[in-house]
Amino acid sequence: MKLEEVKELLSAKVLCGECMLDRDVEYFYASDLMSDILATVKEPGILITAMVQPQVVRTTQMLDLIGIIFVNGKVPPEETLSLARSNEILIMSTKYSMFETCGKIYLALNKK
Amino acid sequence: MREIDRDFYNLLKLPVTLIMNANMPKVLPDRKVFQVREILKINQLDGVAITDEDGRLVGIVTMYDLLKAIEEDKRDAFVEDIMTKNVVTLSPSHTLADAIEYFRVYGYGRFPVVDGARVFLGMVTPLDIVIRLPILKEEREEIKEGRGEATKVIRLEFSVEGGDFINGGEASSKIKRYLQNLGLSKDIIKRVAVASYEMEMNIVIHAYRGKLIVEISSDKIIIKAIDEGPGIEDVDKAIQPGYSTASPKVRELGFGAGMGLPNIISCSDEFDIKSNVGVGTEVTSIIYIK
Repeated sequence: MKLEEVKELLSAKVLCGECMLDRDVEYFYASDLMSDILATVKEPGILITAMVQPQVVRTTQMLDLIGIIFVNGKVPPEETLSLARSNEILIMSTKYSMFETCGKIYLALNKK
Repeated sequence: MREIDRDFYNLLKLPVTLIMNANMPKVLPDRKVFQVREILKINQLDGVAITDEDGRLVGIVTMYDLLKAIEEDKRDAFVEDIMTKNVVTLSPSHTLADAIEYFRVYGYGRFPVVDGARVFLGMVTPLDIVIRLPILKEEREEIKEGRGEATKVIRLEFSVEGGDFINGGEASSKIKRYLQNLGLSKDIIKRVAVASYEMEMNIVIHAYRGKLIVEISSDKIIIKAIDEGPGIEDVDKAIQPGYSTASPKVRELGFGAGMGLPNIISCSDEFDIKSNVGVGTEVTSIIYIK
């Protein structure tokens, strides 16, 4: 699934890493617990979370994840964005909840 | 591109901190010109950073500046009055390639490396690059090919501040970048990255301050986190998945779910934890390079 499609699907705003929208993503992970993310991620993909502090980007970076989708319309602070920019990590923000976001992506992935 | 060239270009991606001279004498701004000249002469240096009491860079001075000042009868002047104040600096995130580009663009003879708080870390001159580059190349090859003495190690050390959630994770991201530049396998890099990140965050969350040390040899990587902190009352409990003593504030940040130590253990081939209540904790993780 192209990140461009994900953006449309979630009516998301891309906050940084616009140039990565043509990338294909197969794996999505949803969690607000950093250690759970560190324990579960096996393949590069996208993290869906409601946590907006810079540590989310650090966690993403350790795991070679491509980007982060912030749910509930959350917009991360500048520290988070600048860290994401310098590590070339895509950031999107969607108004949908974690549950709705995951549901929409799950359905779209299964249709393919 | 020929193999040797690619190797060379990979070396240039290494952090500038690996070739800087970190053992420089400390010179305060209120030293006299003649005193600083003596310091440079004794240490066989052509230039030196001037730092304040907290180690922050305030300027640099070269042997040329000092000799010129002495010629102008300013041997008793404060070095502060003759030093260069607007200094172009490098940061630890700059690479060797960046340093070379700086020398080319600015034409200066040296660049101080400073951290985010302008604390002076070391000085880079073109000579440092010429001398250190072949050594770096050798170290890197021995590790990549698993040859060389197993006892030979590269050691990286970082200090980590308790409670610093903004910079927490920075050391681990530097470690990860370093390992990537060494050309190690993705699996090894990820295991080291996750283990060191969890160890670093444990210091940030639970301790007052600590150190994260990584020793890379041709057969294994040892990661150590040594902290000054409250220590752990019951180590057996602490390593159980889901057990946590983290504060609600820490939990709000997505940490403290009791998976930190179990994560470190699952990334490690060997694991050890020692803790003294009221003193601190030392965690060791060993990952073998297959």
